[in-house]
Amino acid sequence: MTSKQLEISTKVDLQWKNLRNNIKERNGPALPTEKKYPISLDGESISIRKGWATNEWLKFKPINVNDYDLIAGNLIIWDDGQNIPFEYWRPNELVRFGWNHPGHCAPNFASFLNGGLKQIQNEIDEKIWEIEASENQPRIDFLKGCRLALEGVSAYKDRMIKAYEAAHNADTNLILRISKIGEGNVDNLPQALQDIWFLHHILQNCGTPSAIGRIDQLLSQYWKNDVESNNISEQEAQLWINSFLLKFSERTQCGINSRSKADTGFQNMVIGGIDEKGNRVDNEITLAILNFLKQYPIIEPKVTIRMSNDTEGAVFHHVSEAITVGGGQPAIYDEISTIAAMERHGFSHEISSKFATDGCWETTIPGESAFFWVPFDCLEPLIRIIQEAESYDYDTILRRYLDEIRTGAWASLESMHSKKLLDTVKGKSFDSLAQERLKKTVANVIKNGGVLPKDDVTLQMNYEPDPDLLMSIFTENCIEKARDVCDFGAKITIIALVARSVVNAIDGLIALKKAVFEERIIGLEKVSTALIDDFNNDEALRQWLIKRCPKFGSADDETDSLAKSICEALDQGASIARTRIRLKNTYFTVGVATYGWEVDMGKHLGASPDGRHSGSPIASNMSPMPGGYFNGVSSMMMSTSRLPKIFSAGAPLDISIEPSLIEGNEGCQRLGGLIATFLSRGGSILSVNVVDSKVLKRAMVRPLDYADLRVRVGGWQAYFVTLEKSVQENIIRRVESTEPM
Amino acid sequence: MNADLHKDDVIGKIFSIIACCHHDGPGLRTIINFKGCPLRCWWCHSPQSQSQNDELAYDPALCISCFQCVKTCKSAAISADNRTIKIDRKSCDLCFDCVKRCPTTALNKVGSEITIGQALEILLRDRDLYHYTGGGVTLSGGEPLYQPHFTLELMRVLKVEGIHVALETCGHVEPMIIDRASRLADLILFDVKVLDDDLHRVNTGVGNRTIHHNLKLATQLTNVRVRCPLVPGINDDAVSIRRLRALCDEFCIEEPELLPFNDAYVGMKKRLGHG
Repeated sequence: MTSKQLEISTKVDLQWKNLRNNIKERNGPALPTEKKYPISLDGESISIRKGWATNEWLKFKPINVNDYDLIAGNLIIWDDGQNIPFEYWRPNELVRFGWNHPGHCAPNFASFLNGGLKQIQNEIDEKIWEIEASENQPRIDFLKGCRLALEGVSAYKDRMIKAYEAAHNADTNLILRISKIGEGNVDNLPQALQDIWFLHHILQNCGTPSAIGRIDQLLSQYWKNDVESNNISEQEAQLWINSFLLKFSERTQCGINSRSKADTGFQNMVIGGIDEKGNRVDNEITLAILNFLKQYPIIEPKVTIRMSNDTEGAVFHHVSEAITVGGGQPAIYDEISTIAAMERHGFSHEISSKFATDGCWETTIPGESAFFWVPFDCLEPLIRIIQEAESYDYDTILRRYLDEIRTGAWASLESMHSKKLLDTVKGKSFDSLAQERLKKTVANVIKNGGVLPKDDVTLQMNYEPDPDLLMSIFTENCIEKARDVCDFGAKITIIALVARSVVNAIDGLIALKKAVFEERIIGLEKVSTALIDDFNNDEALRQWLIKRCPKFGSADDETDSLAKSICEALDQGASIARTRIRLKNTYFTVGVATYGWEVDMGKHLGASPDGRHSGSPIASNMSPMPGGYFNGVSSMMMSTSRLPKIFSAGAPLDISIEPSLIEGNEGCQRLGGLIATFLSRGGSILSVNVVDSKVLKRAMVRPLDYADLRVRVGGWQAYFVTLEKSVQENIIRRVESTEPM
Repeated sequence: MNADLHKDDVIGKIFSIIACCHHDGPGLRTIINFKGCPLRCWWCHSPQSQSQNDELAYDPALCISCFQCVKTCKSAAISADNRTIKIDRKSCDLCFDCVKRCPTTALNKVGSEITIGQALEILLRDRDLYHYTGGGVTLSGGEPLYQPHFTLELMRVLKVEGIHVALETCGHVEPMIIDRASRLADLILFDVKVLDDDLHRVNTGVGNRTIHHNLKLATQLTNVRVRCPLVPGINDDAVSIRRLRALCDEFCIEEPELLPFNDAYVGMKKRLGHG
């Protein structure tokens, strides 16, 4: 090891040691209590106020300096996950997209690395000058807000330089790199990593849960330049990547997420896959990132890899090895199916081949797109039909259900643009709206057996816009259009229909067919009563529905054919929306996802004909419901492969594998083969938990002994012991259902 | 035999088909478990495999005391017993009507007939998985060669399909059958339990001379891996293990695979009402 390499290696070790302690203790840096709001902004627009808030926050956000820093800039996350102090704009404002908050975007890092801050500043100034005469005040204010935010970014950079210069052991190379941040024309790996981290951590610190995009594609040229010209060795490059990736865990140490006490900061990066010309992106960075995952028990960043059976064997091997260490990283995209679905939904091949993800499975185009999702529950119409359908035969029920799915999916998407509710919500505080929604939910629980009201969706979509100025600055076309990224300013807007409870609906329909119409063990009316009673007086029926009926995921032909019909109906709903709402550069995509919140989502749903109790978890994503009969993970893969290729917004299959299956080199090959099978059959997304349910149970009893135990929850992973008890129990059920008897 | 005819005409008796297994041969495999075995090892971890007849299994852990089975049973073989049920095995005529009514699968029919065509449909479903993981199909049980007509035909058809076939056998069959099976199997997982002939007879019901003869024969024709379940007090002492290794050396086969003792048989015997 050279002395330079030793020095870098020592720093990375120290960085990890410090971080690891902080993660265990949830000991993030202290937050400032002092508030600095020197000017009055009463009467100013939301864009101006947010611009000032961003500007001020970046002028006093604490900067931590450590001796071991190779990359400067630290994450501080506010308790509620947002970050800019709110005083300038939060009170009495409504966030337009409610839970569908800004984010789900990756900034245009390539343009930042090449053009720098100055170029963007000039663009904003020119645009202000161009439209100032138009008297379009909202647009002018938006640009002025962006300008204020950008000035804050420059000021923050200057403060960073001073902070490091004042440090006891000032690293002159690091100070030089900081001074070059945002200068553009980046030509080496350490500088590229510093610039990317700088922009990422500023976005995150200012409340934008942003993603990274296709990091291996982005960094490839810098790695190549440095290694080929012997500026740094391959080992040093790996250490630089490690240091960069460890920075993302600075969110984890803050422990802010109430559900998991571990953060889900949308810090997703995508590796592998093909580029616009069809060439494979997989490179040294891809392998370096997979090496990192093998080495460090972290939960951030979230890494997803795009794969097909053309992916090279070495990548397959590294992916398998990374998954075998636990933690469910990386998740695997079947890129062929995803690109095909995106093309089906109107994307050109050029655009769809660029896809990445942000958060969980929110298919995005890095630097170019904004993403919004519309939840759609597939159990609600089924329960309603059962309650109305006293004399229906099965074919009528099915026909009605598919009609409901089609029109419901379309109506949900269309509600994104409905202005009807906007008037009714204007002038009300967020809290009063939440109260109203709660009342409606309760009323609906009584009336419909506990189904989330449909207009809940509409309500979320029509709040006043909350501009995401910084993300707009770094997203293509927003400045040119003088329009916020969340307000159709981005070059591409993606609106995803995200269905949930799909598997419960499939299982419920097929169980209904068997119980009522084939075996005739019960009448439809009694099913309806049993659902309202939550099976309180008929456990035998509930058991029959669970144990004696085929389930999605067991490769049963009839069930899989029904699943296909339901998914096609969802797609048809999106098609109707596509033809009715013609918006330029806006795409309607389709996915099935619970993202890891299936426990919470289930709490709002009444009992269902698949034998599910009221309020209990729904199936995770497009995965089989725990408790049914399955015949190994291959039958689950078979069932998902038979679904139509429509999931442009993902429909993940989450599987659990017992650790003995992947033991040793042979086990690693088995896992590689399993992934290859998934890809060759065609799926959407695969996430793999390698964990033993007995270990999870022990961890619940003795959490201190299992601080590092990680699990894949859904679109994100977490330290198991930090999860809520109900989530832990659901994960154990999922794992047990795939373990051998 | 006419190729189209045999798929529906040749029938085997099995008790399960399990996909994605990794303990019985390379890669990921589908295991087809045959019902019926000439040996009666008391430690057999799947006692439901020993008899070739259909059997009724009852798992009280799954029972919700709905007593649908009691109402259904025409021969009055089932009665309520506190929160569970009692089965009078002598009165039971194995009609399995109770199984059809049981909502929880606490009552189960162990054993089903399957044709070559039906077996192939299931076994070939994971052809791609076998390809990508280097796996295949394992015939286990029970003793697959106890139903030689079905087993050999299934092996032949699987070979024609290009599937890696592993056969798990106790070896207590006609040498001619082992000869034919060895020529069709890519791998034989040969169970050797006890080396002493008398001790073997006491614990399994048969002597082991034929078994050893067949082991030698198999090693001359295909890849053989010897497996030995370690049974406390029977064959887990150093001398027995050394003798087993010597046997493998003698036949020039790799080290025997020593399987840990599995007491799952206790629960299953209870469920089947076996004493």
